[in-house]
Amino acid sequence: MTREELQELASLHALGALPPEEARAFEEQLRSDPELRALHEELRDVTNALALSAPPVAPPPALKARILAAIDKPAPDKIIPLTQHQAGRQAGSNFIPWAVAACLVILVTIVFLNNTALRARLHDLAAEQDKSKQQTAMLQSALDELRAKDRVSQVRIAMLGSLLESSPKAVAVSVWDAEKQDGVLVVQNLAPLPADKDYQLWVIDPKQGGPVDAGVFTVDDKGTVHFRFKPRSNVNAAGTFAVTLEKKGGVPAPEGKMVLAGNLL
Amino acid sequence: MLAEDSARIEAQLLERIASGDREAFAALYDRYSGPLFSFAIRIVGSPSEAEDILQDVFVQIWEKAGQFDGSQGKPFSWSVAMTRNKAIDRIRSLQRRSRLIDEATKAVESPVAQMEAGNELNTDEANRVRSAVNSLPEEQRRAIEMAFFGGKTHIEIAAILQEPLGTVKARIRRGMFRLREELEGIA
Repeated sequence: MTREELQELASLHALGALPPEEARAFEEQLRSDPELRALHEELRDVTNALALSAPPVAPPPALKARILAAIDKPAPDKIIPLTQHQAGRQAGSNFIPWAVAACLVILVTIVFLNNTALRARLHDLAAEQDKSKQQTAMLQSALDELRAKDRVSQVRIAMLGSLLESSPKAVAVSVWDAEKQDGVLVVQNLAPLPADKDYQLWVIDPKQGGPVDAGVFTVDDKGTVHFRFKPRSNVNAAGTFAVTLEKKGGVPAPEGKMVLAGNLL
Repeated sequence: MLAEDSARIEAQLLERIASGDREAFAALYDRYSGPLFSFAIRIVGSPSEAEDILQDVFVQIWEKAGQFDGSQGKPFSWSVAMTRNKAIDRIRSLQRRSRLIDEATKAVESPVAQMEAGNELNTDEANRVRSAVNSLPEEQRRAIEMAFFGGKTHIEIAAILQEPLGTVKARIRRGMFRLREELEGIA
């Protein structure tokens, strides 16, 4: 190996840019090459100095108190991080959405699994497990989007199941923020449509009369879509989400076949 | 203050932290929290994520200060490595960097979020590092930043940039060597 190649490896390793196997091989080489080791140390210092090139942003003042409170806790075990974050929440932390997200995922998974058991006559257990995992992943995806905006604590979730015998695997998750009056629908395994058709999402408030149009969407060739929606009029107490098959552009009130539906949990 | 003086003071703080000295811990927090928080945001793109990372890092410093080995590097380098590892782990596991970048961009652009006085690490050093990084040819800077802040391997970088692997390696080597010259006395 030429000196130049070794310099490349030293640079890449210092930056953490070598895949694990190459990194291990290089570390072996470092042990037997003092000159290379000295170069690597210099480059590692350069790398660490790069941290200072980040645009300066001050941490929130409350963070110091939160961290000082955290170190007062007993030695860490698997439970401690939650305790630390609870301390942070009292100090104004935005950990709340994370905790809520985690709880929601767990809750929805449990509910879905229970529901699956009750409907065992329709599907065998293995298929349902796959579906559960799939929906959990979809839910996670939808939650991630809202979590990035620290809005998870305000959202509710609906799991939409297929009403079509022809597409029994079609599933969807709707994450709904009543305060902001918008949400995210994540769909999988829904049949792709001809060019003159759209799927249309409806939000239903049992006390509010008819379904409220929440927009039209199509799915890709794998039957998936990640659809941000906002109902055309205010929905006071959304209870149910439904998807119908409609003509292109949608309709003011549902006319076509209902393909997916589910209630808010 | 010279970099070596800073390193010596910080190593002493770590020694005190290892014996349970909370004041020393608070002093180290005052020195490092600004740069490490900025660094974490630069990687994960989200202030809220960066807060959690910073908390994890400082709790780890509190617990492992006694394991710091001055012969293996400076205290700040040790903390940077910890921060980077946690931040890269976070973005890899969450895989939602593009959304977080939007959030971070807004936060960084917000004048309220800009750091004011109080960062006790030498801002001259930070300015010098930024100047050195900005003076690199674009292709070298980009490859280095993708590796360091993005956690990408050289293979991934070559694939993203659609450049031959050898080209990417050479760019990184040239960029790193140039930075080494520019940052002499800091790094």
